[in-house]
Amino acid sequence: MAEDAVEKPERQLGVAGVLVVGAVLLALTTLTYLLHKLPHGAWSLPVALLIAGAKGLLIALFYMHLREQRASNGLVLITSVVFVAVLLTVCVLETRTRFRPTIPPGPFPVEALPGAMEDPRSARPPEPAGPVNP
Amino acid sequence: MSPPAAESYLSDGRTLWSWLTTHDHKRIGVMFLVLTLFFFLVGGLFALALRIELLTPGRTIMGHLAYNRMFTLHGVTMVWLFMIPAIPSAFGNFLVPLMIGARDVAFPRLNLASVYLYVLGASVTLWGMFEGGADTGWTFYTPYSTTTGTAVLPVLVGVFIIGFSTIVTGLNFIATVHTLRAPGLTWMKLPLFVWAIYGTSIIQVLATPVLGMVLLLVALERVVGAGIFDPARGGDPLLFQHLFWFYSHPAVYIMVLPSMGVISEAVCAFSRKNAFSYRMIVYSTLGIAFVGFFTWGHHMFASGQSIFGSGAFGAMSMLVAIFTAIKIFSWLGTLYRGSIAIESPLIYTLGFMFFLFFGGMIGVAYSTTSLNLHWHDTYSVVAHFHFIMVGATVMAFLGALHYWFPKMFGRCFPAKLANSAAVLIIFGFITTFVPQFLLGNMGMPRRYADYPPHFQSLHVASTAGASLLAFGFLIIAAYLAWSLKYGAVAGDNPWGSDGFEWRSASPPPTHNFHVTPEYPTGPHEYAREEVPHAA
Amino acid sequence: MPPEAVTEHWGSEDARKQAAYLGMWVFIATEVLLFAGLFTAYGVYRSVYPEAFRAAQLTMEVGLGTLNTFLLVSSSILVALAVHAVRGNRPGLGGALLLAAALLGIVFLGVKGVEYSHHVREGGLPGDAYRFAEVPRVGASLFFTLYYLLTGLHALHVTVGVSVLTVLGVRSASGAFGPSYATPVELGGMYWHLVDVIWLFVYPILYLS
Repeated sequence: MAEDAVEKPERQLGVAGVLVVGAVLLALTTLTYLLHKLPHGAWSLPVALLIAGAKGLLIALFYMHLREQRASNGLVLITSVVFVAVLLTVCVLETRTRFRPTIPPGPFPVEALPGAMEDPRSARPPEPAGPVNP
Repeated sequence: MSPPAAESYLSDGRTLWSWLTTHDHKRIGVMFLVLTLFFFLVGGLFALALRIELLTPGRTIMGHLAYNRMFTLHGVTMVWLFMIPAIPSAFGNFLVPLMIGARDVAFPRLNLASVYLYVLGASVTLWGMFEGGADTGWTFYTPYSTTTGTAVLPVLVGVFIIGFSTIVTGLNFIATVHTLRAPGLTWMKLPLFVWAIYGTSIIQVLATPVLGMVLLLVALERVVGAGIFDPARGGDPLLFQHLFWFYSHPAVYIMVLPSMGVISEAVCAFSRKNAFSYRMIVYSTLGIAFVGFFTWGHHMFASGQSIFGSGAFGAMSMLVAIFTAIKIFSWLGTLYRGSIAIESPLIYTLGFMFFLFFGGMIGVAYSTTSLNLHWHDTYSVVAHFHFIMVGATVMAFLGALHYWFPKMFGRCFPAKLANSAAVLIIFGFITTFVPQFLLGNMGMPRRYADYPPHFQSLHVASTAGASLLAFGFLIIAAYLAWSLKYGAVAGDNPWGSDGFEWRSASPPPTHNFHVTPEYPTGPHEYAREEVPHAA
Repeated sequence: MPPEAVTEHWGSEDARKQAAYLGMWVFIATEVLLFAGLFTAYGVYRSVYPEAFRAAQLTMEVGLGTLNTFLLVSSSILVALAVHAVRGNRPGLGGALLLAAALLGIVFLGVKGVEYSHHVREGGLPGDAYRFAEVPRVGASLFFTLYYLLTGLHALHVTVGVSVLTVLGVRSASGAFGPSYATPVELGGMYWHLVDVIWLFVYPILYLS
């Protein structure tokens, strides 16, 4: 039942291992900071998040002992990360694909009800709704 | 078998203190049962008040503000104080350790803490009710909930605290099912009720924190003007709806999955057959738990959500019907050519299957965006979700209450009376909610205290049905209370069920089992041995 | 009457450990999803107000944020060493390392406080209270609201973590844990690492890019 064991002690890190992982973590932190000094582009956020993800993975695997534990525990973590990704992605995608803006500063075009006779533009408020952009 | 007082968990310490400090999952289950039944009564009284107000057009017994508060409190009480904890916390706590051959849940002290968190949250919510109560609807939609002058804050805080209780219960069940199964009881031998509770726990653990955060944000918005959901500060009210429904749509499955577990057990027990397709029921349970997280946007079709989003959410919502259909077919296949015993749990089961099927099929129609816009925020929607929540969940709750009443208290109830009450409840339910479909289709909006006179006949029919329901619940309460003391002693297994929970005495001793049970086969192996049916 | 059915709560020592780890992981999952709501709000508003968010981000004190990142990562290394020490039957050393990690946590909170005071002086306050003249209000006020929510909720977790580490450190130094019973230290360590990992994601989105 070696595969099913709760802990796999042979996979525990020694002091050297802990320090090596720590050194990598500190190096990655420095790397993020140095990359920040470069000119920013569309890739700076994904790269920064990728580095954060790598650091998180190292911590989860080695410092939080996932590597020594049963796969079910890792599954719990993966599930939670997947659902965070689902929530975040779906909400951002939905906001970006809206047919017309619903977030201030508008302007919010006022649409005539189906069958309304008047010119829809006559119903437009004099000022855009929401706070005025300074 | 000896009378129930012999050495059961009920007689192990008779003081109130021994109940309040217990770590016994069975006592905690019973405490949750009592608490949730109390709030079922409270929520039911609110519902009755709503139905009486709607008896006539114009003012009947209360004004508009009182009506708004009343339906808000009805929703909050029924959703968070009754339905979400009812089956998992009451029956789940009582039965899961018995079903998996364990002595208790994994973390008994946390389990007790979840009772007290529930009581604390419920008290804060009650306090909010006495302060006048919120008038936002149970959904707390911004920006109304951040601007109204009613007592939204205590209700928010109360629900927030109850969320912790839910999370703790879910965490406990996950750890219990993973680590405390008796030797030899592998995953694919677990009773279907355990699978259902396990799937529910996953949803509880993943979704409830998001609800906590969104309630916290609304509270902050009210107190310090944080501005996250306020259009006047650049915020987006739709974001609130996203975060809220990311919890609250899966919450529908928190309510209905345990019911499906109850039905899976009852169908097997009262047709004396193994589940028609054990694996398919298990996989569809997990499938619903998973897909349920991708459908939340179908509550937002009329909100200004992106059309792309609406289409995707609508399509995903229809997938749920596939998993539900798999379950319904499996139950029907189990009943087919079974040795049917018409007992009250089976009557509730049949009611459940009809209501789930009917409400579910209408749900598929509602997830079609174009049709949805016609029904949005009308009484049709009210009728639809009451078909699932009352029609399915409450039926299953009553079925569970009747099926496991002898297990919990060692007494039988008058069977004929129970059967009649079950029929009355189903009839009352149909009379209450079918008129509401018609009303909604004619254009009666939900959450209105007033309506034009030509809607009155259907409203009267609905109120009459609600009175029938109330009468039925009164009968049930009366004979169950009577049976607690005067019912015939049940014996260990009055239904002749082959479910694992019946392997210990009824009511079970504090330690559940005197001998660690063995599990050579899965639950409900009726083909293996003929279990005589109790006379 | 076979005793295992009546007396033992856990079937085995393995089951006890696995329940503890699994329970902790499930708890961590709930924490991750608690923060998910705030990260989602950040993602949505950043996509709606990209310029305002960038402008507000440029006013953040990257130096202090980076310092805090280094503090938390170092404290995580100390905690990992502490768990190793306790498992290796050196609870005294483990306790000292845990207390050192807690001290770094306190320094983190101090730096955070300095940062907050700068923002308050400049008027970078959440919601209605926003008075920061350098960056236009719409969108930027949301950035600051989310900044306070994310860092505030995180600081709350740091505070809880510091208390947990302190209690564990003192108990470990007094010899309460050892190779046969290291579970509380392991679980407390996992909590602290979680706090660290959340910061690793808060740091780039608020300070860097």
